[in-house]
Amino acid sequence: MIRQIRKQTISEAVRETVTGAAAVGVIVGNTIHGCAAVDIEGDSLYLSIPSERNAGAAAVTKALWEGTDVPLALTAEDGSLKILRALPDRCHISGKVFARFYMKRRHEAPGGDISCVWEMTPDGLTAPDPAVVYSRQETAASLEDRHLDHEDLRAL
Amino acid sequence: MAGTICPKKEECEALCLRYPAVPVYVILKLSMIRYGAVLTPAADKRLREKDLSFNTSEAFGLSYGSGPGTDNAMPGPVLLRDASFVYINWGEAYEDPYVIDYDPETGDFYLKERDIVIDTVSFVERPAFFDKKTRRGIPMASLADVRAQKLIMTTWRKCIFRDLGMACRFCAFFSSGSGEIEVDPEDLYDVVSEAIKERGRFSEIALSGGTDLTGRPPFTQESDRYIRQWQAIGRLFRDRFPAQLMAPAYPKAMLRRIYDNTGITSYSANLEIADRERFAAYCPGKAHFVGYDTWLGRLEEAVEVFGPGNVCTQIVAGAELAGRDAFSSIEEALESNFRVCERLASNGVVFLSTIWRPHAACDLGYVPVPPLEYYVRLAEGLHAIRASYGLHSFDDDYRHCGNHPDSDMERTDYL
Repeated sequence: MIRQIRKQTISEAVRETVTGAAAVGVIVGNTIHGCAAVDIEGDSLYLSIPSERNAGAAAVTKALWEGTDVPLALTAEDGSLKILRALPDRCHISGKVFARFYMKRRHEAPGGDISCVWEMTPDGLTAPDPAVVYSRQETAASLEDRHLDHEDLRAL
Repeated sequence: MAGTICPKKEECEALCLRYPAVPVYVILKLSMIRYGAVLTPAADKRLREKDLSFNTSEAFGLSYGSGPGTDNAMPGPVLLRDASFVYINWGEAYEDPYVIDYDPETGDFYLKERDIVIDTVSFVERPAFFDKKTRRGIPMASLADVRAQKLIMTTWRKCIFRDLGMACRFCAFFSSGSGEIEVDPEDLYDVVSEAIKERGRFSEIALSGGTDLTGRPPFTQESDRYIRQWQAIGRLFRDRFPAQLMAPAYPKAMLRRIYDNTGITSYSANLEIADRERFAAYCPGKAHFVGYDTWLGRLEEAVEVFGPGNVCTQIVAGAELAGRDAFSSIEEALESNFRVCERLASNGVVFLSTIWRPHAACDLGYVPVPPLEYYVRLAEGLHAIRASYGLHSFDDDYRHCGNHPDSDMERTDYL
């Protein structure tokens, strides 16, 4: 009924690709839906989502619901693209994991916010199809997506 | 455990196949609410530790028996792996509940049926402000209920309908009759001020309470009180902030005054029962003092104040099939709910379900509830209707609220 979490050691190739990524997004069709950040801790990947009101965030949720993986686009500083398929394991919207990545986001991008953090298990790196031209779409956290402690909401 | 029969798991699996549009986690959530859950001694022990134990009082004055999870401190909200919230009436005498166990070696909580692990679940952590008191010396834990991202405060702790013997028949709120009735606005300010010191902890505030008809027109004193309360909270914010008032169906002018004088973004006036005749039978106070047509009309007018998608109404799903005035069939109940959902959705109002649980203190008492399939069909239908009108329940979605299986389904609407 529900796919159980099966952790496995993350390969060096995946670690290097994730660590060297300048941008990350969820691929839906030919569109890369930008995410805030991707991190590795232990044997898990953590994907921070600024707003869930887009197809990329929806695709990750759907993948957990259906027990499938999602393709993540990892773009290096030189613009080269790799695709990492990852299985969503758990969505964090509270607790220590969420708080840690929330504060990281707030520190790295003042004015930014994240809606949730997906804990994922990497499932394999692939090279993109050279015939596919990807477009990129960003969905920033709107005022309505803000947490109540965000300075955009707080009294001056 | 070869050969172990797990009827709830089998039922969920069958429903997943029969209703592929309904996510497995929504079906599991409904199943857990329907059948309940109990804690093993290991889970109970872990949940009494400081970081996971919640307050001993319940925001709407509900009380249950003794036993694990009730006699000392209640556990916080349960979250499934997709971060959806499951409301469990800890202490209710369930017939065949799920079991939540804890493994100290892994630090994980496990949802089980018999000895079969269904999935891992987690519990919302105790918020830091629960250890604080307001400037007036009120323990903050007694003033607020929390979910993963939502801060709920009940600010008027009695209901005139109950006093008049006209309480909604499925309702057990404010039945314990203890404590201060009115919450001081400065206490609310103190709670929110402290709560938002915990970075990233909350993204929604909700105020609610029992009904107070006092004033001319009716609800004047109540609406004025809510304005004072929201203005106190609003001192912490620059302009509007994600917040919902859950109150009776107020006239448009009253809502306009609330909207113009506070920073709230959403309003919910709960119809509770969608059918006209049964609204009168199950909600005698609401029917007598407001009326069914007026209630619906005021919801639709409220959209002119708050905007489409920012006005909600909830039904207590399952109550319409309980007691002497119940629908004679599930099909009739579904048709009634879908018809009103469609009407309201076409006018920008979000019609949501919450799942009713029987309680000894309500007029209906402990009665059988509908089969799980009813709730699955209801969630599927309500979501589909709202989606066809492009409606999203922002302040009542899985993150800002979590109490509505149909709004949980909105997460994949963007595909």
